[in-house]
Amino acid sequence: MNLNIFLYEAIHFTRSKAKLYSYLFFMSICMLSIFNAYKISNKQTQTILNINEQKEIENQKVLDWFDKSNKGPDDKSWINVEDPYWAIRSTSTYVVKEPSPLMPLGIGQSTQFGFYKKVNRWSSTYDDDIVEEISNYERLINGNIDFSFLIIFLLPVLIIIMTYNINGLEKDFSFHKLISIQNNQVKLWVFTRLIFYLILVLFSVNFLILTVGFFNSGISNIKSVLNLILLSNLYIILFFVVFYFLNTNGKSSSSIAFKMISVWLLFCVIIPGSVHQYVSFQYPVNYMTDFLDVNRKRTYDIFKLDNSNLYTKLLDIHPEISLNKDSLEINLDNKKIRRSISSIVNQMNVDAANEIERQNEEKNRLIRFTYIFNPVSYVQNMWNSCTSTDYDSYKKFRIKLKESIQLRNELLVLEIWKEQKVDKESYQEYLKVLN
Amino acid sequence: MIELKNIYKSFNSNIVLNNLSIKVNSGEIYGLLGANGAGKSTTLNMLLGFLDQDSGTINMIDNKGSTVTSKDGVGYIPENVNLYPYLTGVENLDYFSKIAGLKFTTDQLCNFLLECGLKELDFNKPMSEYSKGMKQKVGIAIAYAKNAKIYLLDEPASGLDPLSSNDLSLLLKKMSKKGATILMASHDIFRVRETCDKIGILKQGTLVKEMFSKDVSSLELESLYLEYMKN
Amino acid sequence: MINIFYNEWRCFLRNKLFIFFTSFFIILLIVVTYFAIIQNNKQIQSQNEAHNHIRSQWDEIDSTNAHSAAHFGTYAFKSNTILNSLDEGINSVTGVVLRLEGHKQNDVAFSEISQSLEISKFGKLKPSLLFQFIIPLFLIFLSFNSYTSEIASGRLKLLIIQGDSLLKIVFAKIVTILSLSFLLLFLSIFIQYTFNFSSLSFDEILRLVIFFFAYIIYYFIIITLTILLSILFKKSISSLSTMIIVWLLWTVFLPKTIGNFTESISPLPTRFELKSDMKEDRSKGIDGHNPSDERRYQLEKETLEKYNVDSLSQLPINFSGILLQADEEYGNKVWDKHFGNVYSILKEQKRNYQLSGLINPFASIQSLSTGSCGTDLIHHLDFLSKAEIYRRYFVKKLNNEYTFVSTKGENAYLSDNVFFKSINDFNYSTPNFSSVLYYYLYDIIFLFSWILFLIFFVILKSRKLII
Repeated sequence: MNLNIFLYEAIHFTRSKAKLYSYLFFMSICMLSIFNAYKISNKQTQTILNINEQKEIENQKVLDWFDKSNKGPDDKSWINVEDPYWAIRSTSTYVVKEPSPLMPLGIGQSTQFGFYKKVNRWSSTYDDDIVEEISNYERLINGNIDFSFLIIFLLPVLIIIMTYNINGLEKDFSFHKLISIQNNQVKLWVFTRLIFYLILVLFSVNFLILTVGFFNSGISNIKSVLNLILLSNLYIILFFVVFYFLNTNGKSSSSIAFKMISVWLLFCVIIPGSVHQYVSFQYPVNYMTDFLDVNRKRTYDIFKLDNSNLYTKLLDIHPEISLNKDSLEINLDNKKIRRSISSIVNQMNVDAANEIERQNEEKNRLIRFTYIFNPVSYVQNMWNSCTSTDYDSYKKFRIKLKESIQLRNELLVLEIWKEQKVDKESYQEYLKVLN
Repeated sequence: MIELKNIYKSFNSNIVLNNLSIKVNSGEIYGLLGANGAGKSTTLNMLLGFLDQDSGTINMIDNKGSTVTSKDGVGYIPENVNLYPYLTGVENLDYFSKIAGLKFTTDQLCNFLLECGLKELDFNKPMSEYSKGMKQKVGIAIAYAKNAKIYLLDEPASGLDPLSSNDLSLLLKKMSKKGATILMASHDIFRVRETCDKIGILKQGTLVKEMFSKDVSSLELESLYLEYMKN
Repeated sequence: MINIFYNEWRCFLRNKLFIFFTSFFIILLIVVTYFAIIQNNKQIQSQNEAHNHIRSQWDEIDSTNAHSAAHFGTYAFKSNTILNSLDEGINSVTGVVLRLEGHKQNDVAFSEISQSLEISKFGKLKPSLLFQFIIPLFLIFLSFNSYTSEIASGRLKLLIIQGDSLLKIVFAKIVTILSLSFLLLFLSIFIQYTFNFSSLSFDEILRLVIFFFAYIIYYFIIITLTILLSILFKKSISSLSTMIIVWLLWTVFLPKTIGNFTESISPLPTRFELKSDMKEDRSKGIDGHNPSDERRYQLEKETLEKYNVDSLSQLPINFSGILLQADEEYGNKVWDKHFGNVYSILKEQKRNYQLSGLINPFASIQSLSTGSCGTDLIHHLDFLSKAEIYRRYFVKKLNNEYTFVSTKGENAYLSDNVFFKSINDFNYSTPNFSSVLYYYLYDIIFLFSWILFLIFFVILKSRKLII
């Protein structure tokens, strides 16, 4: 490789105003995107802080009742926090998904999901209060100025702008033969010139990723940062390899530009769009009727069951409760059974949610299968995975939520059936367990 | 020296060069005249190594008797020397020298340009501001800097004003005096007569006439050329 | 002019590359439109099944307490219009299921986009994706040298000497390329019309016509601007590279930046803030006036006076029902205040975004495209508003039953199946386009302004042009 050709490319680059300004413009937009994502991340962090504050206030209120020997609020005489049922109901618990420290590098699907949920015994992982933040849907469709979007979708366009006339301008001006006789390896000459832009782009992208990665999370996310670098670099190199062939075989700069843009359109727009349409055809939007049935009809059907049936169902879920009392009549205490119904409903919710997750997973399997010819979606989802903003990261959040709901119901049933009086210490113990 | 012996070349059974033999000695300027499609560009492309002949031999030898390949000792000046418009004359010369693996100081580069007749004032102007004649001088400077033994020129005088055209003739003569072997393909009968030592008329791939320019006047060359073209 | 038009087409049809790409787009459009219709119909069917399933559960309710039925509630499913197959707009990001029940308004949930990994950043391969992103690029490639090649070849001088004016030549070029886009658009609309012939209403046909002409105008802008740039730069390659950058700015960069900007100048509350404020207003009274216990006391007093009795137990009606409905109506006021605010911010953001049509006609075409297909924010908000109106009707009907009817007879507080079946189902229909037209006035004005501006410039440049 001729180092002089490589170094001279810097002059070509800086003299060509369109290339230089496009690069500077792109870099500015990258910084703007990072700043923009910081704002979104900070807004989420602020909301989580508000939630924690609210949670503290609510829990402190109950602790104050214990301190003042009150059983509950003055205007609700039926509440008795010494009863485990009311004590557990009064605990304020939220499950949150903290924004990933790498979110400034990729908002991913974070704007499509909720990131916190107040848990009560009737909660489920698909409640409508864990939908996305209030936002303008038209803006969601147009998307954010997101760093990952810029790298995955717009960086190839920048590369096109910077490289489309390599071996094209020479042909436009008919001095390509002169290049050939001055340098007997035209392919190496094209390669060396492309390497300059490759190094420029890789350096710029890696610098931004490393800066944001370390600035925002130190070395705690080093693995994800390195994965992002590896992923982005391989992706960029892939485009350079394709463009190398177009540059070496191009007939003019406009023909090279046309082919490069066609490649970009094919990989970034047409293939993902076709896959999207096909997946949507195979798996139309899920109206979740099974889940709705559990939430409504089947829950109401449960309420209609008699105590004996309910008890059998409860025993299936919590075999421990049969050990607490030896008399079946006591076990069939109406109040205790009725107060434990949420646990049965929760089990139904869990089953229905598992079925939804299974269906979604089937859809995801089909999407993953297309990665073989749809590399852009692969890179996009891998990127989102590194920044913990992909479907699977939110699935983990739902699993955490499911466990929290399950824990609450389990605790509720066991404590109700133990019939122990709750004091401040045991209430604090509840808080510890549930948070 | 350039020597083409019994060259045959056809494209899809269409004969482009038919038993073509030309010899250009060192220090000689050879003008190849011919109509469009006569085979001039094919001949140049073969000498440049972009095309292979079907049969026949091509030899390019320098003053010391060593074989010259298109990549090392050959300079090529296309019809339009539109180099990188945003680079200056010096930078273009520097770039093309560097891709040939040659490295010169700025003074050396300026000297090459001066030798090729470019005014010092224009050295650091971007080439987009150059006239066609000035661009051609840079083109020749590239070959000169490469220490080319053989110069191949494709329609070098086309579109040049008389003064630039005359400058070009003088420059090529200067190079030939330094020992360069020059082959130029052209339509311009007058310029070929003025510049070249030897002239060949190519018709449908066959060299129909070869002569020394000192033996014919421009008018005689023109009537000879027209005669061959009509028959 | 007609001769130039014919000649241009003749040249196009002799150009193998043109034939290849045009055939490619025709086949692609046929396939894409066809599959979009099939996919959309499948989704409409799936939505109808869900709707019928939920309604049948309601119709099967046995004798039960009307208030309990209000908790049982129902669901509104966001329906897809037939034209969703052309442009699905925001439908993949909005939720599709809205629970309607007593006491509270819920959020529409289960968006398609939240049900899987991310696939395409530019949406599904529907006709709108081709019309908005890909066909404009094709038109740019067809236009960028159509004029400059005439200059370079010297034909332009010949044409003028033969008596054609420069202006006529330029417009003939524009019309020729526009006629191709006309063909592509017509093809897609025709397939849409043919496959849904029986189910298309007059309003939907009107929407199709608007969709068609909006894109024709947009393409006119793209073609004219490309040719104008080639006239200005005198170089086709400069016109091409500038138009590609313009295309990128219009379709990718500006929508995102202006979208973010409109959101920052009219910020939306977070869901947490909104819920806390609503909770506060509901318990302490809107803006701290008229807290819930005072409201209850007042209502009790009024009801006793109205029925001329001294205590609640003497009332011939169920006071709980009165209380529930009053609470419901207060909740509605709170909701109207807060969500009214959210809706007006959303509309303000949309309006501000539409203003960007002044510099970005893509914003206008996007808005008109989704608007005419009934898949934009305005139509989504209309769905939400109508669902809320229905919820209020639904809950009021149940509360009235609970208050006035179900107290009578032996089975006090229980209502029978006949009553539940008598409650109308929620059947959403898209508003007539004429009733929402004013939301798109900016888009229409800006698109026409672009046309006038470009025509003016072409005339100006054609007069001053030195060939």
